[in-house]
Amino acid sequence: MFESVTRDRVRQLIDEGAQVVEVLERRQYRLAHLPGAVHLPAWELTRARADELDRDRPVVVYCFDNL
Amino acid sequence: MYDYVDGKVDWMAFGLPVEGDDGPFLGSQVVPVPTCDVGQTVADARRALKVAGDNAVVVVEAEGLAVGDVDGEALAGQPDETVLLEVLRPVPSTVRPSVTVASVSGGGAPLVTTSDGRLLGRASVDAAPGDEGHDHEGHDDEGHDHDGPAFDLDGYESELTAVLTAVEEHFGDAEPSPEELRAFLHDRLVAEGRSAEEVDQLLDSLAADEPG
Repeated sequence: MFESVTRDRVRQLIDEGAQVVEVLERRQYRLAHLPGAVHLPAWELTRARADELDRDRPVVVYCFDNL
Repeated sequence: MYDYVDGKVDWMAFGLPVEGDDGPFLGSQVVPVPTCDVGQTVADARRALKVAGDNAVVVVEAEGLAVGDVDGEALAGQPDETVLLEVLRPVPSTVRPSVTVASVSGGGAPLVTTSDGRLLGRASVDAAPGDEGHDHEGHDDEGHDHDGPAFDLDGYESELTAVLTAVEEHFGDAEPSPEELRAFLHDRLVAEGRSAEEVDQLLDSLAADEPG
């Protein structure tokens, strides 16, 4: 399950080597994404796609905002 | 797994670096503005203006939601004890930190707020709200999904985190086929009150967005 984290915690996790995943549509990702973020749209979050991530590193998922 | 619930807008609101084709973004050019709570008085606002050396104070309510502003002219002649709620001018158009600086060109320095209306400050650029990426009530941006701001919030985007969880709970370790996933999303969105036609259009548009 997901643990909600704040911006400061995200920065800390990135510094610690976390993988960052943007789940928005491709256009949104292409325009701007967090540094180093990979693109994995929510509707493609199948096990096969999830396997592209390194299971040994934390994963931070983000969307557009909190609404 | 960690969920950065405040998302990209929050990140950009604080001027943190991003990668991509667009920018620069307004979030990197926000300066503080003097504020008062709605329950404070005209005397408080006068003091805030004097300290800040500004010409207007933004009136906020709980959790920093911008509700209006008062300037020196509005304060003139008002008794010191008058509550700001009685004299404020409803907050003018605001812009999101996630819009590009270029999208808000033209005289003025609009207030910058989050999608839920929390005040971040004022744009330090010579900018005024145009047709893009702003609203009048601090809610999400609507109807700008083609030529609008860099970041438009279609309705489904706000639900993605919930959808992720729901998919995980529904399918568990099983890997759904695209058809199964679509059927699940369809049923969920219809159950939330959307029309089947709207949902079909939405899912069609998502399916067209092939991985890149």
